[in-house]
Amino acid sequence: MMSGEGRDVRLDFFRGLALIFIFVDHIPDNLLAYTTLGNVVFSDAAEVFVFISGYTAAVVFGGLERKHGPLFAAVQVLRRCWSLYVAHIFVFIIFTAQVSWTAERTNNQMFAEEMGVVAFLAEPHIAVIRALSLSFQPAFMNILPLYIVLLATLAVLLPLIARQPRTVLIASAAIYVATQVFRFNPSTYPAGVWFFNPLAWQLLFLAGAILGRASLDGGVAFLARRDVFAASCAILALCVAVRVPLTILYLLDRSPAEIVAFTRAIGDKTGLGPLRLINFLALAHVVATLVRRDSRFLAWRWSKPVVVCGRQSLAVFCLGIFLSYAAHVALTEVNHSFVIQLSVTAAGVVLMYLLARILDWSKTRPGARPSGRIGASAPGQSAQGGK
Amino acid sequence: MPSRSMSTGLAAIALALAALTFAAPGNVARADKNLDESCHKPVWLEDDQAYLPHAAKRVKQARRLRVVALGSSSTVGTGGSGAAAAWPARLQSELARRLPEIEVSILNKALPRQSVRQMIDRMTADVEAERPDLVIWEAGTSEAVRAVDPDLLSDGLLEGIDRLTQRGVDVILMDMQYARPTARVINFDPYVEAMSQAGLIRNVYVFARHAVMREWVEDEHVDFSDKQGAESIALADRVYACIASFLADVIAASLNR
Repeated sequence: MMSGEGRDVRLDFFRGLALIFIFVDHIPDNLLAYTTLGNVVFSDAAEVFVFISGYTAAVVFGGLERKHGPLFAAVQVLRRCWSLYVAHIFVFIIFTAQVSWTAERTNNQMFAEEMGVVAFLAEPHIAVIRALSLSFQPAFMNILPLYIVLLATLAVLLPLIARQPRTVLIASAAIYVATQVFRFNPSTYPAGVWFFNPLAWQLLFLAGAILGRASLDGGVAFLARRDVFAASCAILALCVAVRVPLTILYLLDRSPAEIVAFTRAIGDKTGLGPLRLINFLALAHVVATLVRRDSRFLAWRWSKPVVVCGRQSLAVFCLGIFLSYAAHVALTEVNHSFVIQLSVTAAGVVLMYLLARILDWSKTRPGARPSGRIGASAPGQSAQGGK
Repeated sequence: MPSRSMSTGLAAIALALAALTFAAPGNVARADKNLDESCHKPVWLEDDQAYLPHAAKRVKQARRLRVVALGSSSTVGTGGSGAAAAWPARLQSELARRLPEIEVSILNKALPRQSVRQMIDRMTADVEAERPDLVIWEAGTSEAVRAVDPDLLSDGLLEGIDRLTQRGVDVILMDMQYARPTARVINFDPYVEAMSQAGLIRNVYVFARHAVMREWVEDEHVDFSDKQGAESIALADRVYACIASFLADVIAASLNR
């Protein structure tokens, strides 16, 4: 992927892992969620996914931009956005079906207030427009809008990222800081704000994009410096040393009030709190330096399924969102015992892998049309015109 | 490629959806689960106690306890036979039975469909003016239904708790109701978590109604999904009565310690 050396499998692996973690984390009430990244450091799989998405998007579309010009690249970016948009609308339709079904069957007045969740069915002319404009984000529908908005900005910013990366980074950081200080966040319908504030999260996505674009031209010298790496290691070590005991205390149900207040104050996911951001950047730097592109574990038997999921990230991501909702419904219908949680989670991960495997197979098969590959999650191939 | 990858993806999703929709009507077959007289109190609730220093002092000195129930629809008693069957009214008689030498009064100051913010806005007039010793604050449903940022819920609760404790009033929080049909379309988890965090931070007891009702449902003592008319009114009364009796156990144990 980088300057014709072939795909960087590390990106596929970690993105695949992030997708699996996101699925597990999004099943409400899932004990297995204690095995994911967010329990070891202050950031979680959401940061990994957003950052790597920015990075790979810049590598793929930046390569296209260099070869075919900004307009061509912008069109490819928007084509990818369109796929995500269709997936978002699809999830909306499923949610609406589920809500209508519930509304039709539940006459128990005891839950009259809860049934306020169906209020949008009374004004479909508004609800549909709000869903189409991404501002209707009911439960389980708040992740795709962020990804769509972030990716869409690349259509415009790609040429700037290539030529004036520093300017883009400064502007992006300024918006982030302003968001932290003034706490603004676009509102949603019928009430509330974006669960992932796009004005805060854009910094992580664009930082990934800037680094990804720079990797096409030999990388960033600053990050190769020993003292910078040492600083990242120190930050990461400190974060792990604080976070792990907190998780253990929480699991033992022994969290003192001060600690709960502390983790709550710094764990601002909606606004991507500074600690989450710094922790993640240090983690990314350390992992990217220590794990080499030809690391042996990437070729392990158990790594392969993860790599395949990362390679087909778009479809796996959309399926994962749907599956975590399906898993939630399953846990509601049966019960939320550990056995059920475990089987539902395992079934979901297997389904995600199967989908990725099928897509992978359909694309790498000899004779599969290479023409449709542009903007696919097989960037190395498209940029070089096939294997 | 996006279109092709998407269509395969969508096909897989459609299959999963089909499985999901067919799984759901299973509810309809289960009938006649109307929470019997025993109330099926969860074992983990048995030893729960709240931290009620002011109320305990008042009970000891003045032999009386003034309680305000602040809340939303389920505190008003929506779906039941009336105000006398709502959990605050039932709590009064349950407490009177457990603490015969104490004069207990409970004022129901709930209004339907209220957010924490709306309840804080009327706290001066509706709660503080009544000079209660204890406020039982039922909340979270409005926030969960509208899927707002869960931090709004915990921030509001912390603010309200601080206001009340500064005036020497003890607080007990009560979280949301549970039923399968509503849990399918509302993601309650983050709001239950936000409430328990607020309680932990201020050392305020959170009565875990959501977990209690979920245990009833999963152990098949009750099924809310197929009840209508008189049957559903009777069931609502029963639920409110059981909730009140559990809550009375906790309060009595906390005052007697």
